[in-house]
Amino acid sequence: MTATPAQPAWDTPSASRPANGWTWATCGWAWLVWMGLAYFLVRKPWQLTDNLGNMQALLEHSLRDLLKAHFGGGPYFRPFLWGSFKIVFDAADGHYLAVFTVVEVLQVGVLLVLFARLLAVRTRVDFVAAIVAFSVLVGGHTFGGFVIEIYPINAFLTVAICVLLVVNLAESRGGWVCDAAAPVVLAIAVLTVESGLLVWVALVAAYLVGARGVSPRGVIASTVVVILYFWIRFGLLGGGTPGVEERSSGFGFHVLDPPELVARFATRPGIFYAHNVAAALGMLLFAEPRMGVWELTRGFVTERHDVMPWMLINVCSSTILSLLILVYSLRKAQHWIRFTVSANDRPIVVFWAVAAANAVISYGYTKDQIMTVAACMYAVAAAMVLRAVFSRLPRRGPVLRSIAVLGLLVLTSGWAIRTAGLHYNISVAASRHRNDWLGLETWLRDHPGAAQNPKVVALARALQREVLAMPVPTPFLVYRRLGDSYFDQH
Amino acid sequence: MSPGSRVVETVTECIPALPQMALGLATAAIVAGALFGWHPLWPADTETLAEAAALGNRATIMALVARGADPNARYSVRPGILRSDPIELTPLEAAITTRQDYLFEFIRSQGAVVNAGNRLRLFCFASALGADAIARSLAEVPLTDSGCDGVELPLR
Repeated sequence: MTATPAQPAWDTPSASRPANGWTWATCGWAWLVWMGLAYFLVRKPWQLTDNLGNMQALLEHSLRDLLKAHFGGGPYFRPFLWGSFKIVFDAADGHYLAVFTVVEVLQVGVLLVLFARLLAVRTRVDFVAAIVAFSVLVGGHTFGGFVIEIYPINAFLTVAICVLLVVNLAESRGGWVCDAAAPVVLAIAVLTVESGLLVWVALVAAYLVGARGVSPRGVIASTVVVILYFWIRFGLLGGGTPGVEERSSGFGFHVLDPPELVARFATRPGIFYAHNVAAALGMLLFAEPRMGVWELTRGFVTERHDVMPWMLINVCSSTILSLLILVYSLRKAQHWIRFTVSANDRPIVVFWAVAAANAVISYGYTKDQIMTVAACMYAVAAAMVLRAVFSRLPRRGPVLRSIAVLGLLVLTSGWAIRTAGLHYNISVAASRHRNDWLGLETWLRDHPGAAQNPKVVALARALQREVLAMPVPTPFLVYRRLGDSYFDQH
Repeated sequence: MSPGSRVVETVTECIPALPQMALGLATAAIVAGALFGWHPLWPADTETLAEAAALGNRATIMALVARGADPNARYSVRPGILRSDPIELTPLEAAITTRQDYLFEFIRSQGAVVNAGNRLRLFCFASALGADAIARSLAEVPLTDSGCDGVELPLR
């Protein structure tokens, strides 16, 4: 087994070139995608549930108390998440909706910039593959998990940024800044949400396949962070992990509530956990099952559920693209297992590592949102594979070329519909969230602790006024019945 | 490479991304349009009270009433929402088409009045559409003996 020697980050013919017009065109595309998303995000109200409870905690407790409370045992360990909530909350000085929305929009912008940089576009083919990859990123069925609900900062979006950042660091020219930044980014990610461990997976995978932007010192320091994390969380603080009874979870054709999960799997949780890992991978690669529920299959085999066009679009476009990535990977596997990986292929290997680890982290319950991080690397891998596919097209004979172009056009059309569907999804969520705020009295009745605190009640009513004053159209008026039929509803 | 084959190469490489390019153009148009107040995908403040009721959008109903819309007046409902042609309904009539009794009560809470003048018509409309819970609530006050015969319904 021979590892590739230390090498500059972008060592393929295209990537080794300096940034050129195509690189800047990709930056322009990223900006356009960002503006398109921001247009909708700034018009979307918050959801009432989850958010208001968190806002109550932020209002009632100091930063120190929150950090202390979340730096303890229990199934979740998220002190940095609460720290960032609190810092932004205090800085917002009453303008909570506006400031947290700005944070969300900025986070999305950073994600898109890091994504664009990772694609290392230098040629026309790179650019064409990149704009499809942006569609795969934004149109993916998990991307809504980043932007539709905020709590009030989306933890998975933070982790996805951290993962893309460390892969960018690994693919950079390196230096002490990269070595120092990697463990810091990892620490931020793991203290934000458990999926933050994926940062370490991405870093180590990138290093193993030859990305040397982060030196062995940086990788070792990051590994020490992971060891410290486990030692502090489970050794020192006696933390646990979520059990079967923690949350509802999809299984087969239904969502099972905690009592049903306990009844079925309390004595054999391994089966449930293995199902969840497989379901997470299936969801990522084939868009089926969703949240652990086999929706498309259920539509085909049962009378009570319909097969909606969007389900077919999702599953077909995801499956075809995943098969392309899979076939490409299998053809390169004999080189990869000898650690001979080109710069173009490195993100693909990192994707597989992150996908596997992300699925394992999802063992506790199935939720599309958990796989959002791997989905970002999926879009990067898609760019690299499509780049190779597109560049080979002109070399084929006219018949084969025409068939291939037509097939790819069908594939990219599916992803374009899914990308357009994100707008619909945000519109639907905006309308739903706004109407949910009319249930504030019920929420207060169900949360007597909040109802007894005049400051919380005042904050809740101020947020309600602000949300109800936001102009939000009913999505049906724009999309009519096409929206329900052709755009993903999750 | 000949100019012809270069064109073939360019076209072949770019065709698969045509849908994304079209989407990019649409996005650019939306972002640019927003600078000039054009919001084709976010047409807020265009709903009438009856449309908001027919679509079950309580927050919009509340906002429109707060801005002075009369919950007892008749409003136009665009084609495609309830029927293929435009119609005029009161918010209560529009709420009946959803068969949601909570929505009907919500509109009443916003100032819509059920009285001797419209009770029978609303009852007959709710009965005809199978909005049973709404019909029951309307029948709590005795209705005329003649029943729904001859009562003109807002839409059939």
